[in-house]
Amino acid sequence: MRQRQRTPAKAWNHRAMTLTSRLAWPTAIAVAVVVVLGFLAGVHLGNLHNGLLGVSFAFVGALVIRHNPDPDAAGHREGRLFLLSGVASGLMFTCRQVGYEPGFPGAEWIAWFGVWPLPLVMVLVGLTIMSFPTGRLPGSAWRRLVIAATAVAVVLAAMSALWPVEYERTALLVGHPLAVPGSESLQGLFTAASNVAYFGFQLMFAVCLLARMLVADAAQSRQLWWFVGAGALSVVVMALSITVWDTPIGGLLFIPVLPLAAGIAMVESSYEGLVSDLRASARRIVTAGDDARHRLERDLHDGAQQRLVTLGMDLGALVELAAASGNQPLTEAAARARVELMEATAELRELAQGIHPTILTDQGLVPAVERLADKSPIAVAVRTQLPDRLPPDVEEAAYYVVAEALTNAAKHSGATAVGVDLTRTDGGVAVRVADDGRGGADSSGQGLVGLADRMLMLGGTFLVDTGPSGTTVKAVLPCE
Amino acid sequence: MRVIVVDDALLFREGLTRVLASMGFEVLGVADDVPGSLRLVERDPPDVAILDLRMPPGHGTEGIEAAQQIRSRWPSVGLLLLSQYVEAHYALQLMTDFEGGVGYLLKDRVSDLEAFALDVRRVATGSTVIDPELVANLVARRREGDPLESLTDRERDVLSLMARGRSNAALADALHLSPKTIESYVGSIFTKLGLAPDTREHRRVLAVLTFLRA
Repeated sequence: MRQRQRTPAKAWNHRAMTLTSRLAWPTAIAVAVVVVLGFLAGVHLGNLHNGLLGVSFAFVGALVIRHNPDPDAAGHREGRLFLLSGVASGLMFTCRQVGYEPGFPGAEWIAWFGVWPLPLVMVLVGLTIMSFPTGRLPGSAWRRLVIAATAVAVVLAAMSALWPVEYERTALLVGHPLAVPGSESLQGLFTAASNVAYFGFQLMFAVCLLARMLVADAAQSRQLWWFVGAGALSVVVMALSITVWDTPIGGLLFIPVLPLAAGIAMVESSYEGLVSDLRASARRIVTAGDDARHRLERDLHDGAQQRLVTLGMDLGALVELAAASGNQPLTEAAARARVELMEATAELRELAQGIHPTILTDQGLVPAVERLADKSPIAVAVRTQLPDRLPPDVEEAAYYVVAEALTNAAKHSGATAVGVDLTRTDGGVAVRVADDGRGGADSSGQGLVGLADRMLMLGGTFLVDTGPSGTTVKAVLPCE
Repeated sequence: MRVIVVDDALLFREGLTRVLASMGFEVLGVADDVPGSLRLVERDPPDVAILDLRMPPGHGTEGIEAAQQIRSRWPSVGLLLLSQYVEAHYALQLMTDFEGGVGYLLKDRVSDLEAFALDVRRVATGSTVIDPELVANLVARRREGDPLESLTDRERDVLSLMARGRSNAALADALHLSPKTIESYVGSIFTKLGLAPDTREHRRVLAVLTFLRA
């Protein structure tokens, strides 16, 4: 027996889904073309909504699919449902439109294709609504309901295919292509059954949406409100249209607003998801760097620096011994060694505090900034009206903004004075470092770019304003 | 002279104890945290308690808290705080919280045994001792308008030594000048910097440190 190489399921799915992404816009445009062709047969109120639904669902579907290329994403699944509904509605619309052009070759059969699928298309559109925004039904109970509804729809569609039971309602100008006997007796049954079924379907769609809203998380809730809001609005517009203008056209024309609202909601939501992913990623990067720095400073403090202090004490004892022994050259040599050690430990102290200033963690932002001012080769004036402590993330970010800005002022700008202002703003902390130098801050430089990640992580803003009269760095860091 | 040593780092604790013993101090006991330090003082109050600024649980000021408790219950005990790095922030806090008999030094200072022993004795007698590197950094800080510009070199030396907690007598000794000359220098400095004259050592340290940090 020949062995067949099995493609792993995931890879196959991926290829199929990428196909969906590539075909999305062409499909939507094809639907638009088909629907426009359908409108060549004129505007007929009974069919208008199908055309509008077709185009709007198809376009929104394509938009949402392209915005969610990952086939596992909720948006991608829901987008596919929108697109499918659009294709089905659009095709049904145009086929039915042919029913208003009796002279068209094959009009009877083509129009037939525009009539009997109605219950099935309705269930498909309903499935799209019920799956919003996750692309899946909310539970197995709902799945069973949809299966039941589909079964009912199949029966109704079969009846409509065999007998002209929908033809009176649709006011087509052509007749049913089949002539199966018994249509008069079935008409009453079908009308009653379809009325109940269609009402039941729509009730199911609405209840499903409401049930979702009850258990939705914040992100889904927002999207659902968009959709439901648009739905409510369309009901109002339809009511106005009928009562005030005595025609349902207004309400029908408003129909595309529903998929549009759904599309907007989904696209907005996917942007928010993207931003929060980026923010989380930035946070991981920054935190990893900070943790490494903190550990390094701690290790230096507890390790090398401690040893050098002990060495200092040993050298000091050596100096005393040498002095007591009266050996002048030895005493001088020992004293020199001690001086060199002091200089080395001073350098190490500076290095360690440059890696991470302990006082920032222990005492907060303001003492740490004052320390930066102490060390700065340019005169720094620090003005602050901050509360005692802020969240550690915010303190670190603010500290590094000031540190970078002061470094740049000292290194590049020829400034003689720098002002640092730390203030509380509405919902955050504002850091402003202004120098009187030549300007020319390179905002793509390592230091300033390193800050950008911190700002992204915190959702803060960062601005460098540089010119011949000086450079001002402004950052706002959110915190409550 | 009787002292206690409080530091959570074993190596340093033992090294310092050896140094103190070799310089003629009697080390009554050692501890590695704040409650331990209080127990030691309670058992037998020393002339000076030598405390690490930063001890567990690690907020950075456990030493100052221990010092505050010791000062409030045993006011005659001198308090010397040591740290691996000195910050003007803590120096100012110490000068504000304590009136004399307090010192703040880098642990590195212990390597000069004679100078360190002298500093311990100063704290025991109620003087103030601030680490020279801290003072040097503060004096060297760039200021707009440079108010220290008006001081002569000699006056700057006197200013630095004052900030380190030296009394007029110690200044006269260190600079090989007469006490009268020192007094006039001090007066001139205070006038030039616009500070209110104060002969109390710890007050003038606070005044000068505050000025340098403004």
